[in-house]
Amino acid sequence: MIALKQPATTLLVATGFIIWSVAFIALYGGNAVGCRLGWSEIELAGGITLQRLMLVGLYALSLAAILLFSLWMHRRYRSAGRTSEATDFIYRVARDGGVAAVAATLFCFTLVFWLSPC
Amino acid sequence: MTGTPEQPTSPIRLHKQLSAIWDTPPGLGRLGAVNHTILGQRFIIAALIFFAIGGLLAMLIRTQLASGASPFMDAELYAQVFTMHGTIMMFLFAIPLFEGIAIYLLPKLLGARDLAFPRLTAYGFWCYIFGGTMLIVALIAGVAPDSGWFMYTPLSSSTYSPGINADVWLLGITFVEISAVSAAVEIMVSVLKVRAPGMSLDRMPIFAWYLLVVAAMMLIGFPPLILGSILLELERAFGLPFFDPTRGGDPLLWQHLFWLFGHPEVYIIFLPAAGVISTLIPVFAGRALTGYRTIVVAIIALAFLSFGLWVHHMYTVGIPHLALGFFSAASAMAAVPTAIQVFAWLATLSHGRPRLTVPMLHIFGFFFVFIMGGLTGVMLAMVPFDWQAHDTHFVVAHLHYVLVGGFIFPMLAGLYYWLPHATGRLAVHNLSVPAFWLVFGGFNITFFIMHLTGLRGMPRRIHAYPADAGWEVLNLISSMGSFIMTIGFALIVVDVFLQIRFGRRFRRDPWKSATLEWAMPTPPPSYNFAALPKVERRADGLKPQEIGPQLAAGHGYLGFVRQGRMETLGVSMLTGKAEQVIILPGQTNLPLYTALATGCFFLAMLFKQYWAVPIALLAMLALFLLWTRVTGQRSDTGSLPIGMGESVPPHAECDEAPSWWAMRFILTANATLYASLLFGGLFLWVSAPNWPPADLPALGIVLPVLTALALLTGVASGRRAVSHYDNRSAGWLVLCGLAQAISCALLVWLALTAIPAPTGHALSATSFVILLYAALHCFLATVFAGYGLWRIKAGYVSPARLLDLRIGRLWQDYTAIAGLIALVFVAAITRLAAEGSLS
Amino acid sequence: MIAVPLALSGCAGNLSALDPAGPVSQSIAELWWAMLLVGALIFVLVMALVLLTMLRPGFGSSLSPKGWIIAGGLMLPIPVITLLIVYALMQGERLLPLGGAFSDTLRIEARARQWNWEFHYPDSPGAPFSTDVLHIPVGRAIDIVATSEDVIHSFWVPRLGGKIDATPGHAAVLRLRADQSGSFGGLCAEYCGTGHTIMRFTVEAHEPAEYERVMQSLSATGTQRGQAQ
Repeated sequence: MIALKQPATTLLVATGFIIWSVAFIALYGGNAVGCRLGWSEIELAGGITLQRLMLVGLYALSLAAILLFSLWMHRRYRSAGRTSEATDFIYRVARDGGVAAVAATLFCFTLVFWLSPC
Repeated sequence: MTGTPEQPTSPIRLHKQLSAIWDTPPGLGRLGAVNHTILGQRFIIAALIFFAIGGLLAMLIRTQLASGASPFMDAELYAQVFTMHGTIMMFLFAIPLFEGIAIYLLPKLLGARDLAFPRLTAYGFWCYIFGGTMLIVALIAGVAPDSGWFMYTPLSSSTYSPGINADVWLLGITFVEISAVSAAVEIMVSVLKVRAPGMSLDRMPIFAWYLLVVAAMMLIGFPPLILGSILLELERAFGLPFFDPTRGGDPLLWQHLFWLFGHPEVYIIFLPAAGVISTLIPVFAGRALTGYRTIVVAIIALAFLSFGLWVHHMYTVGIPHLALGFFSAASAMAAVPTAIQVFAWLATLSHGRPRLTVPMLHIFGFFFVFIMGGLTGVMLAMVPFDWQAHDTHFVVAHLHYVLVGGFIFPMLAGLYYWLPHATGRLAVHNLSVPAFWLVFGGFNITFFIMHLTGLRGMPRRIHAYPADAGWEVLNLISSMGSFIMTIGFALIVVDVFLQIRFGRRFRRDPWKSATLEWAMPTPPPSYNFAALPKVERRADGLKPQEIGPQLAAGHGYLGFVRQGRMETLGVSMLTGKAEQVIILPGQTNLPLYTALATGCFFLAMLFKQYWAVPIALLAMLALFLLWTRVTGQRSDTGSLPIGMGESVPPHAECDEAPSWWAMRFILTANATLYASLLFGGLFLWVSAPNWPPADLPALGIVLPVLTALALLTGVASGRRAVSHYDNRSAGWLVLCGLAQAISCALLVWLALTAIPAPTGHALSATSFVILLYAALHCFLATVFAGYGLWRIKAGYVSPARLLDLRIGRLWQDYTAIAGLIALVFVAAITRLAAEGSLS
Repeated sequence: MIAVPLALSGCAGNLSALDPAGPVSQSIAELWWAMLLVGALIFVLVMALVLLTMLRPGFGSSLSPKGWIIAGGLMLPIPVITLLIVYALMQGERLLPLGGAFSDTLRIEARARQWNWEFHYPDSPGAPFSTDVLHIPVGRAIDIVATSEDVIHSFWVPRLGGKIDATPGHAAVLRLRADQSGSFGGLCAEYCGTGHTIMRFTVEAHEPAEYERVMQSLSATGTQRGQAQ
């Protein structure tokens, strides 16, 4: 298990949503840049545009990252060996925050499969 | 001997000894106050005065709109009035009021004697007062800002607003924002480090979690606005075109920067108020808050979601639907963590035995008004509906429901709850109840009907309307309601005065609360606690009645005075183990003088006396350096006894001193500002018309490489000076300072020679500002190196006391990263622009 | 007391978004009434819970705190916002000028300046224009291309549909259709300076034949003016 210092452990409570934010910026920025470069006009196999592919890729990547993080926190919480109430608390908040961030990702970004990008 | 505390004989004697050290002297000495209780009260009183001014302006608006063709105000005056109403309420009332409450309460809730940086509190207060005064003086002089409180360009640009009105806004608000950013740093460090021993993060009172999250949001949320203001002022004063579409700028960039601040701002205002609710409901329900951990998760989620919905102010500008979808979904989703809090409060009430007190009455007002505002918020988050409702009185109604419900009512609840704490007196009259119903009834009459006014087509910010539009009756009702509400507020003022003057004295803890701020005499002594408590359970489930007398008798940590110093304890961030004795600086006028110098800078900018700008800036820098004269120590002391059989080192000998953390948070805010600037550059390339420019920046190869080498030399030598501290460290610092001076010169040279006229096109302007930003950091890096040298020579540094150098090293690291990014970014965006010109 | 003027004035009005005269405003008004209904129900429910928990000690204490939070914090809002957002985004896709539902659109440019609107009709012969009066044919989708010569304005005809900002340096498109002939109020919705209050215009929706006739007469006056200069 990776040993973390107290400040780094504290930061875990926000990590799920930090990944969500990065995904948000990447999707929003990526969409704008893609439109600017005309990627929505470039059609790949099966009527899927380069734009759509990029967005879906970013979506999958961020979803996987937050899921992994939440799992990691879950395992840490389960196997923390009850070092202290404080760290247990942090792991639980971090895990629940990760789950909330997964929900937020599904809720906000699943739209990449559907809406008109440009 | 430094370590031997003098044991007092009695609580009274201890009280006298502590008071002698912590009290603010009377008379002119008050100007040098750094005490958080005093400054918190000053913030609150000033904010309430600004609230009265803003409320008066609202009355003028309602008088004007009571009939369709009112001769009361003309369009120009009306523009100043509605702009100033919004500006004052947002920037001079809401944010400072919450800061004041945080400053007053936080150390008391956390079991500390003061905040981490008392002088920064004072500096922030003066910046707030001076900046606010600038705006009010402009209002009286008739040159107040008049482009609306979100200052959309190009209306606020020099072409369409040639007077100083817009400059007053940009400079005055930026001045006030200094206090917001400093309060954010202060709150972050205080919550994370300055708590009573034993108070681990999971034992903090829930209010501290709220404040921690809000302070973090402010660190990220305010820099985009500050950057936007700087860029717009650069455009207005020096013609650098960031927002001018004829020269490659884009008015939409302003909207993005403004709302990237502006929407989190709403939650920055709401969350502290929710923190008050979360603190009060358990007290009046007579049981602990349910779902503590869930609420922590919910507010963290809310904080992040609030940064993902700024574009919901921009649904009508023509942004792609997918992008709107992200923001629309995030906006709607913000309802979930809010609902979680609401139902956690209801569960607390349901499982307790609610007492119906005056604060609870206001909490009822909060539920009623805020929930309605939240529901219309979800409606407005729906893109098609917003196309109709945007910029109408429907939005005006919605935002008042959210802000009055989500801020004013909780603050009134808090006022009635904590006023006895500050005055030591309880209410004897029952004016509070009719006052509440007048405010509540008047508010709903004013704003409920306004939803319909908006849907029937009345846009915002018009000062007259045609009779056939059918808005007259609706507006008349709103105006009448607003006068009822004003009478209610006047009654609250009377009520508060009566309570302060004639209230009944009480012993301790009149509400049967469960938090530490009531475990002290009231009104509170300047030092808060005669001894600091050891916290062994969650700190919103304590018994102040029992703890108070023990602490007053000196039983606890630091229940003594040592060498006349102001001491409080620092703890490890997560576990709350006692870690350091924080020695706080005493009374001083330096914050006042520094704020005055800062004010000179802003006035020089406002009146275009640019020769005075560098003088004021250098004066500020010199004054800030003077702050450090009383900090630090010239010899190693090792561990100091803190009572309860424990000993910890002083903060100067501790790895995680508060000031080290403060620098990290300042750099976080700074990095956000920089990231916003880079985002701005990219945004212009993606979106702005008239790209690419005829002339492109040409950095070449040689100079950027030399600059990069100088930057790397600077950071490497700066790091070496700290990592192995020895007698050669001073030499390394000299090298560091020289290298950074060279990078500064090279960056300025590049900005001046390699970039076509910055007034010609946004690409040049952006590149110019990015390079100057890096150059400014190199200049300050040189100052930090020089400062380190001086501290070494003056004997403040030893292998155990590396704090000054370690803080400098943080700056050196950031400077190197920012400088390298600047070079790469300018080269890259030039390349991107050039490719655009080929296709 | 409040109900009386409400009942008298109703939702009608030449600028009322609740008095739709076209498919766009119609569908948005339907969304509004649906949201109002659901919102009112939720409000009444939550306020009832607030009052009961405050005034009736012990109310709801048989439900565990966790149960409260899950029921009210998750199960209540999540289905509502999910349904709502899907519906609203589907509506957005339909109403946006993306082709689809209304094709065969007529393009009209709305050029804003402090403080009037100039409407250009590039699809009509002679490319005429009119000031502060927008002529459209009934029953045909119109793409309004909004631009500005100075500051930001916003084009809004509440009875026909939503608004679109006229931003200098950008051209944004709004799709509208009038289903009945007549005259509708329009205004600038974004604050644009001291003349913001008076920056209004009128939309005249004509039957197609009448529209052609109006275009011809506009071209004629436009040509005459051109010759005079």
